Amino acid sequence: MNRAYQSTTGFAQEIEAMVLARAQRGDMQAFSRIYERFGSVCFQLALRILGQRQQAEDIVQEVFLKMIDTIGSYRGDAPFGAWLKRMTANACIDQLRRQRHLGEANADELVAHTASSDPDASSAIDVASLLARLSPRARAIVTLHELEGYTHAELASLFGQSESYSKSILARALKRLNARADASRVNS
Amino acid sequence: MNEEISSLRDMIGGAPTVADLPSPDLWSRIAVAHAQRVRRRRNVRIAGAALVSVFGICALLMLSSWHGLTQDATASVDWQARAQALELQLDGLPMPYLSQSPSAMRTVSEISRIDSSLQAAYDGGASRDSILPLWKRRSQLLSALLAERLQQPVMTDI
Repeated sequence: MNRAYQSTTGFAQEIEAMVLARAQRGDMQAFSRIYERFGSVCFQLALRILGQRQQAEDIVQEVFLKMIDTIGSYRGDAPFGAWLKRMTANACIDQLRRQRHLGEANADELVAHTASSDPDASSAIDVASLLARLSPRARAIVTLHELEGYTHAELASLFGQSESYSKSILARALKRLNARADASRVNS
Repeated sequence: MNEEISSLRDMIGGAPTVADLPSPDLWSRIAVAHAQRVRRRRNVRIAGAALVSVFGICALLMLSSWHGLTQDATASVDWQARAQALELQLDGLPMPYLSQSPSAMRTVSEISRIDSSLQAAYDGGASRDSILPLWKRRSQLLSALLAERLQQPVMTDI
């Protein structure tokens, strides 16, 4: 059972038809309205996948520039937020590919990740720190599956791997995150 | 385990903190980047159009130059002067021993008709382009006549 946290991530928000029509005519004020509504949620998704603010902002810029270019072809077949979410996820995966974080490796290596800023286990539970302990691929799979409602079939297509591969990565990553969270709770 | 995962989801997907928000100037940076891209694309389009125009003008110039050259090549043969030179050459030849052949007589007859046409054209103030073919034909006929005369035996006074 997969649950999408659309209400918290905000991709389920809608935009007014008038704003969409104005944006499709190239009105920058309309794009500004769209950014006000979706800029933060795009940034949060990118930040959770990539783990770095600067890279996440670069992704938001890339996605919005691409959206400005392609909004004319948006026909409303899917909700606008879903369209933007897919663009953001794809941009993040492309970024990871450019950084060669998506090379072949076994599942244990992909889940384990020794972040240079590894926080002390006694510190309070910090979501960003927990996610930072995962490899970029595992972090992307956890974020997209657990928070954005991507299915394993979609993840397999996105990463160019089999469904069982993403299932394996996800199970190991969640186990690891839970263990870390438990350790933090005990220590605090 | 499911509860643990559920709480983990709640934790990861919790309300964004200030640290989860992008820089306040991110939209202005995006707008500036968009404006720069629009400007760059417009410049590329203008440069492309200019390049196409330059190529077009060059092609036209080359075409007109080539056309002019071919026209000049045709016009550069001064058929009138050539016909006059051939006539002088014919006049300088000794008279043929035998009477003129039928083909030579036809040529002379045609030359005579062309002379009449030329006279009428000059009298009527015809253009150079319409007179040029007459001179060209006259020159060709004289050339043929000259060739025939040069092959005939001539009468020599002893």
